[in-house]
Amino acid sequence: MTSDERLGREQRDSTACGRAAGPRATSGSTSGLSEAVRARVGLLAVSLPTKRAALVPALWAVQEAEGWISGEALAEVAAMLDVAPADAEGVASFYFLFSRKPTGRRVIDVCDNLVCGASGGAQLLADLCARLGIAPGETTADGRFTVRRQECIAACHQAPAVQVDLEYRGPVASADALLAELAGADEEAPAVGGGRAIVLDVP
Amino acid sequence: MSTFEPVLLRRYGLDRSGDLDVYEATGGYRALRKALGSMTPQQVMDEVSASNLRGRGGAGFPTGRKWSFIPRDAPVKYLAVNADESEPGTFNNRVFIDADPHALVEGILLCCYAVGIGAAYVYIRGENRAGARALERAIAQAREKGYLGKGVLGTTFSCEIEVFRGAGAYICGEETALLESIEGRRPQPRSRPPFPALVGLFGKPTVINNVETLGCVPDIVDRGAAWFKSIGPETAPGPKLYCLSGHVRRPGVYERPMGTPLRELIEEHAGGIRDGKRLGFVIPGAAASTALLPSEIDVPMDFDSLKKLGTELGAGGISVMDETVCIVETLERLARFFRHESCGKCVPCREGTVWQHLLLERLTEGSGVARDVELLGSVSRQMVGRTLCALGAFAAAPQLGALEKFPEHFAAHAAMGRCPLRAAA
Repeated sequence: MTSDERLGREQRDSTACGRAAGPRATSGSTSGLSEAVRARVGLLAVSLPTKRAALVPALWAVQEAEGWISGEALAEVAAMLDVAPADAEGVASFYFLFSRKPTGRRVIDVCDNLVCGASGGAQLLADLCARLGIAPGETTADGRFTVRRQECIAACHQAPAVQVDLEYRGPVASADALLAELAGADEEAPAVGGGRAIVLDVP
Repeated sequence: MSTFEPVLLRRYGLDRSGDLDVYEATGGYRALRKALGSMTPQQVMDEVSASNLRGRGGAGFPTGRKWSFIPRDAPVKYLAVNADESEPGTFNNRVFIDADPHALVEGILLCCYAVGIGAAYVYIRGENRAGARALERAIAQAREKGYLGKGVLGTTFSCEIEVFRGAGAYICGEETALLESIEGRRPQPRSRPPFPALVGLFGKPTVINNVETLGCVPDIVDRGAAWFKSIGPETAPGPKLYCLSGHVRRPGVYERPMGTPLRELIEEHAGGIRDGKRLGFVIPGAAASTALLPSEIDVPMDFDSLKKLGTELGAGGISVMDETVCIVETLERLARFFRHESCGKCVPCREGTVWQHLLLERLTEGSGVARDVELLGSVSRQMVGRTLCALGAFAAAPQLGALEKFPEHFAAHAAMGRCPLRAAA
């Protein structure tokens, strides 16, 4: 194998530094945090033993409000928590679920690891991507779907399993069945990808 | 052991099993009342030590001993609960938390009382948002009824519980990476010593326990160490949540005594191999364990029996593969996982996981040669014992085990340029 192959080791799609213009920011501002998120981050900063310990919860708050974490939002959070921007970037980029580019309205994470992979997960991922005309990690041109290849999601008994906006589904019969299910629910779909959790709700 | 009654999953399937009133009505918080009302912290710790409870995260370390390492007189101490559960094949924490979040809360409170801890963090993987919500809800209910917060049940014991959501990184299940993650740093493992028992979360003495470990504690306190020791083997007693998945008829989490034979779990509980196929191999303790052959499945599923067979119990994730599944393709998938999840801090792991994956890709894609098989062994051997944390060894173990047990499969891939199973089909 060449050194190029080794250097070109696979990166997590969603952690690729997302300053490349995301095709479609589905909602929310791409610069500056909303008042609610600022308030949330401010509260976190004083309620944990160190300011820095608020970093991951703060990034969740941003992602859940905006659907992704823009460079501007990251810089603002970093400044509020007295963390150097490059340092904060290093933390944010480490995690699969922190999206550094805009995502579709629904984010489908497909597991094709040990058990799901032996139960049709790889085929499901390939079929989904083929139906939507995208590669894993990409978003459809209409901004409806992002599909990602995910590692084990602790749903092996539901293989092949997926998460749609972090909600578990499985066993998934086929890509068509899943897309039909989601089309039916599209009306009530959240406005931004990644889902909005109540865990870090603004008080 | 036909009389075994579920302990950890006894509320599974009950209507509103995650609600406080249901928990209380089924014996919940009785152990906490007993401990606070009639036991000293030391007595709680002694009871847990006497029970021989061993950590359910995979290492099997005696829980009472772990607690005893924490300096009594340290003014600030923490408990970090490991609910990161990300190892392929494992899903018991998720099922347990969904079914019985208050049992985890009570286990946490008992640990904190015994060790003198005032704050606990539950580190739950980011994907498990439902579990985080269930826990948040249970914590709010418990606080309202005075089970946690300042002056628990009118005593001088105070305790807070914080739910911390990870964001998708297997390495965060490694105990020191978990601490780094909570502290807001890039979650790469720390070098030890100092050990977390002395210098842990925010530099303070810290207990790190798995969800299932703490889930055992309320019943140990309530029913006593002797009762706990009467379940399963004496050296590693108690109930165990086994995750059965793969090509079985009834995949799911089964609670059985520690040491239940693998054959019984697969054939009786999970209903045997589905679609009229035969068993190919079993990965008994999730991604980092060596696969077992059909001839080996009479092994009792406990830490020591599996070690004797050269494999691991891990956290109890049992992946059952039928005869059509290729071991080399399975290992390629696992290698891809470890390559993806290596944090990059130690060279043998960062480089080794890439080489392992590239070699296995070549073998599964048909361009591999015999030398690749040798190299896979040599790379894997060099990863063991040369890294700060266990991820490197975890990545190496299934490869080394399989090279020994399934040499003909590797040889066939290298010689024929394709999978012998596919050729036969």
